[in-house]
Amino acid sequence: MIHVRDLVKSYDDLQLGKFTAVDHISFFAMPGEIFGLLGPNGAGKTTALRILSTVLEPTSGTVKVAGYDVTTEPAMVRQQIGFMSANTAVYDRMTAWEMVEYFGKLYGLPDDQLAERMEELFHRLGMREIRDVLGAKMSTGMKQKVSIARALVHDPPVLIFDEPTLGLDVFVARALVQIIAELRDQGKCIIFSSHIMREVEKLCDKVAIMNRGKILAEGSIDELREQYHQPDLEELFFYLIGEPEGIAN
Amino acid sequence: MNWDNVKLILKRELRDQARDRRTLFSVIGLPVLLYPLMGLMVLQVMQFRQTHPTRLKVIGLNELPGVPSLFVTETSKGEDGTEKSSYQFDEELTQASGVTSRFDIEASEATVDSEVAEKTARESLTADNLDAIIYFPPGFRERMESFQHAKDNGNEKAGKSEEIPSPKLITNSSDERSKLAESRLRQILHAWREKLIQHNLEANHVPTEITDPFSFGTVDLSEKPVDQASFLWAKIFPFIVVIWALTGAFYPAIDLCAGEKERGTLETLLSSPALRSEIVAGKLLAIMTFSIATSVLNLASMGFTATFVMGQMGGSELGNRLNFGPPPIWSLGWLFLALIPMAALFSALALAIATMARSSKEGQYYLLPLLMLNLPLVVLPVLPDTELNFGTSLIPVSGMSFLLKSLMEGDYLKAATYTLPVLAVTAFCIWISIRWAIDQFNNESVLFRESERFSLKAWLRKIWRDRKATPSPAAAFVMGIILLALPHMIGRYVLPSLGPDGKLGAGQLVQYMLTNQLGLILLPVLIAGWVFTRSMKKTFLLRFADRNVLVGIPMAILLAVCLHPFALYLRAVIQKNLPMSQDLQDRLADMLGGTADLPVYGIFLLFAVLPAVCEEFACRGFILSGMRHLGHKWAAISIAAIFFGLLHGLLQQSIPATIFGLMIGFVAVQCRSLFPAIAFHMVHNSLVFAHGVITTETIQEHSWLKILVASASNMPGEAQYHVTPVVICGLVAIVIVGFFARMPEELSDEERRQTTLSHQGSLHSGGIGKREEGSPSA
Repeated sequence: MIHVRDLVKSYDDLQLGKFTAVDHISFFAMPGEIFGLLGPNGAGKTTALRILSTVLEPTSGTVKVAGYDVTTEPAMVRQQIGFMSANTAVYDRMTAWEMVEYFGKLYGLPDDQLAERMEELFHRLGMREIRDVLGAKMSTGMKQKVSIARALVHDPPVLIFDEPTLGLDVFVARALVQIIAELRDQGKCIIFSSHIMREVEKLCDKVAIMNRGKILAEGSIDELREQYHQPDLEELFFYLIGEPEGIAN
Repeated sequence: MNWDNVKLILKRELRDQARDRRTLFSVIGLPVLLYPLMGLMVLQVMQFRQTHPTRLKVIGLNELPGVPSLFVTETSKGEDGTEKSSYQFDEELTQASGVTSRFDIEASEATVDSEVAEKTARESLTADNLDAIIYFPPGFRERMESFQHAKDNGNEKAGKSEEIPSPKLITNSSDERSKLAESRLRQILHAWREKLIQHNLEANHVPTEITDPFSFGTVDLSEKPVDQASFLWAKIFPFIVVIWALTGAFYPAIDLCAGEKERGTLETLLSSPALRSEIVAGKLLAIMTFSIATSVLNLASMGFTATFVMGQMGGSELGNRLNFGPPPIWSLGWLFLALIPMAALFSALALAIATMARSSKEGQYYLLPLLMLNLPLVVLPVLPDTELNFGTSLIPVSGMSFLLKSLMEGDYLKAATYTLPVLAVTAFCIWISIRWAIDQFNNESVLFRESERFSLKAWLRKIWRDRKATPSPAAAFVMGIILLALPHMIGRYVLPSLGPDGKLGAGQLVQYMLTNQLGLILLPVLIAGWVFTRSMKKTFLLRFADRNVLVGIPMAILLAVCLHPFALYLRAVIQKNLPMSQDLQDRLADMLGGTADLPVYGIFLLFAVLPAVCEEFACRGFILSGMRHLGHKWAAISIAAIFFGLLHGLLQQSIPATIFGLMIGFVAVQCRSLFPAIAFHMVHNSLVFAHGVITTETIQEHSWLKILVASASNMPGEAQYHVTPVVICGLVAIVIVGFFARMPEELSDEERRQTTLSHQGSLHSGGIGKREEGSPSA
């Protein structure tokens, strides 16, 4: 469903020159699977996911989502995905219902089908109370729910979640994790990036640990623990990445 | 493009803006409140201005002749029982002069010397106690009265005007009130003088008709007051329309682009299936709607307020001078029609610029430069002695303002004549602006750029480090501007100046051409190519050993020959619509006069080979190569052609040069080489010069020319082709253009990317993106 091969993304930086944010990474994810990208801030997770969602273009390498190439067929890719990240905010001057409806229409859903789908989503995500609340008046948790509804409205086969629980309280974060697990059970192919070990451990079938644009290790959590002889994911993470001072540097 | 998506985005943006109090206030609240408030302020100020009396002192009242009277004196008793005199101008005089303001007059009857009067005046005016002083010198009354009996008495002295002591009006021109007082007093004193002359003539039994035997009658054919009102509005409205269309577009553009970046919602939209072109179209239409709404509301409010205020000022001097009735309704129709393309142009420009901004605050900084750049274009139509003609119709923004002015003035014939070029230029500018906006939305370095610490050293190092095989569009653009500016900046120091007779000799002409072409065109582009690119060969398209080039060169030569009759036709059309002034023709003749002393091969080298090489290296080499990174082949060819045209300086040469520049650019791109372009240019220039020497005499000497030339005269440059060769040339030219078009293209990376995206767009709009064709998950 998602095939990333030798993906590179570099930027021109005035001071540093060429800066490589994503450095020759490769991975694949299948339907009914959650693929986790685990890494510290600045590891290149968000850049990689932005490329998957066609917001950014790769410098080199190939990325195929549901059989479509992100460089040559970006519009087709966007039809197949639901993308949610800290950078995909909700409109301040639109209500929850208007926002989800707007994106449903952009995805080309017929009116009757869209109305049915929205009722179902608002019920499932517990959003009925905020149906007519403007984005500007919503709490962070409410906004995240609206973003999820927006990403799911067209029932895409591929979902990309970039740190979806960032800034949420434990209740909302827990509910969100449950929703993502349900979506996996429905056969969706999900890419999930986070730096919270618990969530990754709980959700992901496969994990890629990233640092400084590179994938340091990839596989199921059990496989990785076994391969690197580490008792849990957190230890494995620090073992691969190094000491926190090193990260800061 | 999927228009359903465009409509959706448009509706969302309109609703979003309508829910923003700041936008609503600036679009609706401000114009509705601003102008009435301004009007009220004007009325208040005018009231103050009208009630303020002019402070006048009259020195030497005794020296005034009794008849006709200038002042009326009223005597009243003061509180202490003393008699007080107050003075006012004779009512007949104020009525005759049309001065309605009041005067606070203080008079001194005593006769004083001129020096004393001036000293008093200087002290009073400097201390701001008075606005003006009228001084009547000693002997003035006696002399005036002597005129009344000049004929009976045979008074010789009366006839010698140089001996008459003259009264003085003393004012201070650096003081606004004093200046105003001067203009009012001059009118009254003029009326008094006229009356005095009339009285003297009557006293001497001379018919007054002798001094005023006739007056020139004027016939004003305007249908008062409608024509006069529309004339005034025609001057003001185009100016106001442009300003408001621009500012009305800019604030929504900032909110819809930089504001969305700030709020993090742009990425949400970019990850939706809407294409970038659809997002741009939706946002553009929303911005246009607000631009039009802002302009219309401002104009309506301004028109209403101005009419009201002028109505209130009906009796005042200013009110009498300005005929400021309500604008005729049909002129508002023209205004609205012209507003649509103006709003489209400014909305696209504002959208592209606002996309560059990282935040709303940064976006605000871009408004002022945009306004300043447009200001000369906006002011030009307001200037006196400027009008709609072929030249002004080609100036972006100004052309539309001129057209609107002509339509509002009711000059429909002129407007109809130039509507096509105005619309063509405006449409081209709109297209370029929209393409720029779409490119900005496709450019992730613009959409997601972050703040960087600027350092000149680091920036220069980056330019050197990140050099590509060919220059960047920015480098190409800057080079184009440099080439246009160089002759003006350093031309006077390096180019030979005209001789004492105002002419260039043959030697100076050679020196002029060599310096201009080699020093001011070729040298800068070669240096820039060496410094800013990694491949001189790719930048200047120096490909020779290639089948396309070897075939392309003879084909380009043939194409230039076949297009020559059309070049002549184009030149004739331009000359007819935009004739060169005699002065300009004389100066050109003076400059090129030295060619008569040059051999034919010298002329060929100087005017055909040299410009062909230098200008092609600059325009189809450096500029075109750089512009191809924009991703649109024809945009690159067009921009290079425009710079090529502008490089020719004179509008009459720039227009054909731009048009032929398009063809030369096309040849260079299709052949992937500069050499066919140079060949075309060289042959074209040679034929222009060859045509310039053909006369009836030449045809008699070379009888084979009769096959081509239908008519000629003794004047060089007037030969005309037979119809048959023109038709044949036209057909052959079409075949050759077709041949070039079928050559395999070599697209730049950016052009390939744009082609892919366009292909993707057509797939999107033709298939899956269509709403009625079902759910994507189905």
